[in-house]
Amino acid sequence: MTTIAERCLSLIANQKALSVETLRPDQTLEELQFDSLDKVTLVFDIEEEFHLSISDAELAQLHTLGDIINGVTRKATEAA
Amino acid sequence: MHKTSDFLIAGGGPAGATAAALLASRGERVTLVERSAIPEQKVCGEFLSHETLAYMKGLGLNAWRLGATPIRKLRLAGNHLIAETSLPFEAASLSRKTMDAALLRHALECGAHVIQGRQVERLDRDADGWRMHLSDGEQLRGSQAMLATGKHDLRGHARGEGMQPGLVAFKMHLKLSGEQTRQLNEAVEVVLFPGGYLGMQPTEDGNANLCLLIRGNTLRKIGGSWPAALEHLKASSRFLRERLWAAQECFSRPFALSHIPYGYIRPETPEGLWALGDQATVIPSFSGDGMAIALHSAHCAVACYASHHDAAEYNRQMRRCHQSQVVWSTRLSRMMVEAPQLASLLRYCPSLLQRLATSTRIAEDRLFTPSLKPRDVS
Repeated sequence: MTTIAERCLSLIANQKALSVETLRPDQTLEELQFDSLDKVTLVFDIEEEFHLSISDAELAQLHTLGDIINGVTRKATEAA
Repeated sequence: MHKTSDFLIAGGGPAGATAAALLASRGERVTLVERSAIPEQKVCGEFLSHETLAYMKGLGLNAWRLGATPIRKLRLAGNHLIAETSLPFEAASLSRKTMDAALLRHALECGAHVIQGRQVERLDRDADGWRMHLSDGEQLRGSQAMLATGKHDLRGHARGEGMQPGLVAFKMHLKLSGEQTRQLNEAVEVVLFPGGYLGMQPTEDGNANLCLLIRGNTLRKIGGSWPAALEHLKASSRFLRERLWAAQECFSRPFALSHIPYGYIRPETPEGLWALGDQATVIPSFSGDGMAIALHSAHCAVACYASHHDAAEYNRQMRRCHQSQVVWSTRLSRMMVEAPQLASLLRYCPSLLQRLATSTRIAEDRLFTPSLKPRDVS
């Protein structure tokens, strides 16, 4: 079964046509050249994939890929 | 390392920079932290109303000398042009990059300590006042704190949902053809399309600023990308097809923002935080006058502080001043998104367009003069 972390990384990799294997939890979206439009699209993708909503304040705290995985895991667990 | 100021300001946009300039001019020790190292493009309509121009003038900044271009007409279009009217007040277009740079420079000249290129992580209050945590670990201390982070929320101080959630905003500057530039000349054009609306106006460098609001659901349905959004606009409006054909994009990618709480008005702030600009109230672009509210909030906060009122009283004054304006502008924005067919009625009564443009402004008698006193219009 695919974990939440794997699904998140897959969405991030797809967004910038990267290989999932190259992603590390300590990387930031900025390091991966995500601009404001990439971020908006990624949030859309995450919300759709996990059926949850991410507020601007929550988004502002998601700096690294590890933050995103932890944030989505927490929200998905709360919603379950 | 701890440094102490009278005022800590998070955010160096129009609201934060104006407050910093006004406070520093009064002799307060002000530290402002802005996350951008240099002023950047922001998702913004870049429309400066008469009130914004007056506030800039009060600070000693001449928008025309900064390169602002005049806006004298308002056009409303859907598939075709619906109505055109002269604006009943002076207005201009000036990019946020230029305006923010000028205001920050002014804050510096007035004596504020401005830190650029560093991010505020947290803003906490304890028994000794406020503590601002920067992302590099430095902590600043202040007796008072102002939150002026614009459309971005700070952890622990998130705004609630606004009256019109679910919109995504884009901004792009476009190089139009000579003929298209002549047609747009000195006008702000508001164009309605299924799922949203946009505003377009000339910029100071001869291009056009396009700022659009589209429902997230609509954007998803049409493919979610910027090219798909542009195709959607052109397919929905002959007016836009004519305005945008062969237009060249000036940035490699648009600037985008989602989850904006349009129609938000901050409730009571018992913790004593001075929330300015979009952190106080968020008015939808091209339906209201966000830039004027930003400058007004800074003047109102400093006037309250100078009169020994606290942040809670400032917050009450802001709510009193802007509540009906925000509700009315958000209703107008919702109508443009949800019932654009109603706008075609304006074809039969173009003077109503002028009244709509006026009704979303800050009342003249509520504006502050340079001496931080409400304007006397009697």
